Amino acid sequence: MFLEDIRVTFKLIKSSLTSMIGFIIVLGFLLIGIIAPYILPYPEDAWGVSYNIEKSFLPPSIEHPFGTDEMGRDVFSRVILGARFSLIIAVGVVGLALIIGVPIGLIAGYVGGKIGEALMRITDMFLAFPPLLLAIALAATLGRGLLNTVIALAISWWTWYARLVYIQVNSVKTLPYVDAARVIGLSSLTIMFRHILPNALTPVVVQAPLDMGSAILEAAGLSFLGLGVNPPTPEWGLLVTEGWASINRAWWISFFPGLAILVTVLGFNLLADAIREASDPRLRRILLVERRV
Amino acid sequence: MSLLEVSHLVKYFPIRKGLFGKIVGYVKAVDDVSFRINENEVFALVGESGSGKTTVAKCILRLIKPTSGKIIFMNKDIFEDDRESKWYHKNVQAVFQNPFLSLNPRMRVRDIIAEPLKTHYKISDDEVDKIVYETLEKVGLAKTFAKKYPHELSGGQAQRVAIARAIVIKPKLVVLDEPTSALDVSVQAQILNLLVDLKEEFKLSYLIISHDLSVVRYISDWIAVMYLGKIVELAKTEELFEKPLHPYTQTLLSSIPEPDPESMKLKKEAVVIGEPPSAINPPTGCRYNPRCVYASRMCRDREPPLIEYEKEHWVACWLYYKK
Amino acid sequence: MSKTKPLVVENLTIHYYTVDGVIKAVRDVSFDVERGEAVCLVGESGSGKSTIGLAIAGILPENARIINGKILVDGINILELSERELEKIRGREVSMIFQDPAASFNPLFTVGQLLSDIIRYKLGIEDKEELRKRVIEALKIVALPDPERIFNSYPHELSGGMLQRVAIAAALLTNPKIFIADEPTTMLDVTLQFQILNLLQAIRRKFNIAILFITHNLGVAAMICDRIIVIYAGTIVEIGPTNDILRNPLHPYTKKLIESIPRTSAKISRLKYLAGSLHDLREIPRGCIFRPRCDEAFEMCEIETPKLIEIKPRHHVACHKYRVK
Repeated sequence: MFLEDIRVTFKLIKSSLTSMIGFIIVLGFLLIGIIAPYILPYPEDAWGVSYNIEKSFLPPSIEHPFGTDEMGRDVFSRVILGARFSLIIAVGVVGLALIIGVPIGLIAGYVGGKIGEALMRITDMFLAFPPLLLAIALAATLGRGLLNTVIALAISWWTWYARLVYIQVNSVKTLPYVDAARVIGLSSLTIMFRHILPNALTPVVVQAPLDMGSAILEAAGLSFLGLGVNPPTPEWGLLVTEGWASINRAWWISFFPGLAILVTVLGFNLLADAIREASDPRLRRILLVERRV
Repeated sequence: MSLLEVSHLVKYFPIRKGLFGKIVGYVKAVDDVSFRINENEVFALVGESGSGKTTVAKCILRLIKPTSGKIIFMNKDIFEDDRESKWYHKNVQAVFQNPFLSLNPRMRVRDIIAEPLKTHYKISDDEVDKIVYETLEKVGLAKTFAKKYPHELSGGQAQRVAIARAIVIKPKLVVLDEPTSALDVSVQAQILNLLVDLKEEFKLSYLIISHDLSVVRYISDWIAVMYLGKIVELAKTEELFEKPLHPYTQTLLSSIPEPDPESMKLKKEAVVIGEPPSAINPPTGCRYNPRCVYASRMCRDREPPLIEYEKEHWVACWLYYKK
Repeated sequence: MSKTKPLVVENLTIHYYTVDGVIKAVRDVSFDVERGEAVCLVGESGSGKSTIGLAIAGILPENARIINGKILVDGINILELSERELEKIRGREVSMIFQDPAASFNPLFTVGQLLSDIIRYKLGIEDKEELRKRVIEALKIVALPDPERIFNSYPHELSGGMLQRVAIAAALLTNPKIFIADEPTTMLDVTLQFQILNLLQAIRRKFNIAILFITHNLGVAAMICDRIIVIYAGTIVEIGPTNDILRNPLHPYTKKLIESIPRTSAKISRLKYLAGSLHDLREIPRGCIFRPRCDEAFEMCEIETPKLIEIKPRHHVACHKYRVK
């Protein structure tokens, strides 16, 4: 069934310019993120293990398309490698949040009653904290670093998925095909995983790409506040931070990582729009062929 | 001979209000309903919304637990053992009203039909495929339908798949909840014919729930008319149509629009009064009395029992109480 | 009293644009409705009947395009009007009620507020007393018991049957010339349906309103309509007076439709039915679109699309069997 979903999603993506742009951006991001270490023009610069004071603060040129930073490191290489870290964060945060949130929402929704409500109250407690604040608090307690950043963000994120799934499961479980499954004589577990879960995941599938973009943004925010990854990791947010002090004299150090964040998050948002339309069975069928933007 | 026996079935749904979910009343959906279905018989439960017919069906399908009363299938109380329900589901299957809601939209036709098979029998995949194709053929669908998804089918085709799923494990009883209400009129005819054929071939029994008396006339042997949780009339099909006794049955029959100018002239004389009342506070006495043209003092005071007025024709109405 | 007919539809063609292609839902449909007449558009799902209703009411979905044709409401072609001018027609000259009354009412407002808003917006009356008076009167016309209580009720507090009556009252508030009812009783119990249909008849007689009734149920059409328009796959196959069509159906589709309805009035041993399924409306074949399912077809049916011809007084059919030589 998921192949069918993908097919329709592709059709929708192709039919609109913005979706196409979003798809290309995200695809580009994924590719660069994966092969980053192999395409770096200046690998040592990227990993931050070298510095070259004579070459510091060079404006963008052919050898250094994004210029160099205060340590003489090639900003372009750092941004490219940064894509990998952002990718790890995006997939890690959302993935972890899903692994925790979806089963909780599923069980709470299916079992319902007092147990379901109790589970949701616990979820609500987490939801009550502004996500960024929670992430900051956790990062401050757990310390800096890539893993801790991912964990901190995931902990503040899973509640949203749990609630989404819970609501969806509640409406799906009253549908006739769930009754039909019970009449066939299936066990509760089978019904939960075969009939309810796949149909309850729709809002999650729509939300996930959007959240990947947001995760990158929030991680960048944490880095900016000094709570995210450790230097010299070339995570985009950290790159922006590091270039902030010299923003007047060398705008390119913060600008290009910042642009990378902007473009990537935009790409995810545009793609998420297309996925959202693909997931709505009514919208799916009535999309205008002539629509361009 | 008796396949299913429903005995004094009662189902009340509690109404809760307030912070602590205090019970403030009950929806008396089914209030003392009894009937029997024999082998190879088609039994119809007819009524409008609020009559309780769907609730009865859900109890029989073991989707809801009754408040009181017994349901006996092949001499076994179906609620006796909470866990031992698999044998029951092997013998009692269902077809629901809207096939697009009763088929999992994410499953292919092949898997939808195979599911009951695999649940109740341990057979090889090849054997499963063979039976699935055979069943598809029996409901009039080509093999090519096996790999399709429900949304690729028309209403009639989807309902055929639902029927295939219901009969693939050769149950003894199939409960059909408004099986043709969601379908176009021309498709309805196909499906009704199919149901009749399948019943003959596999010696099935049907419990058919419907609000459409004309559909029911075509396919049923027995009809029970329900109003507000009670059976008000029960008789063999032809008997009911030729001699409807209960005023509600008469009203029901005369409200049905027919594409026949002759019969429509007669129908224009029908009188239908008022709104269906609520099942939370049913009227005292006979539940139909506020809308009945023949209502008397007795009807408002006491509830008429279901009595056998003529041979194999029961009615619950003071008009027919001889003593 | 103007002499123009309340509704004239001419050569109406409507296409839907979807991800899977262009659906030619309505093709070259023409008919009219006289003052005080009730005409039924009878067809099954996919026939295009609802699309026609939505086009007349001016509320087609975003991806529908009117390719050709005219819709004349009281002589004015509404397809040529600007959006602002259309606003005056929609809900005023042309009123519509739908299958699910609950979906037509904003659950946050009381019936009184909703109906008052209609009068205020469409007729420009602001006086509270006047508004209340008119709404209560409208509620009385549709035989609602205790109109004052209903005035203060919210839509979810009312049953389906009551809500449909409120919908009818709302539709009548502006004295429309034409009243479109799209399957208004399909979701109602059969006894309620009977009452609502009788109500519509009474209203028609009292106010001499033209009604366009859209349904898939020939029995309902028989009860309420003077004329029946049988529509199949986006095109009209037969039009005629109700009794005529029911007693002497001409088009093979109409015949099959009538034959496949089970009756309470007679015991039928076997239901005749219509084999096959609706053609894919993205590809319109040459010839008569009913041909694949017709057991009376012959060579001509594959070559040429039949046109609507008047065979008997006011009884038209589009079928090659009845070609005027």
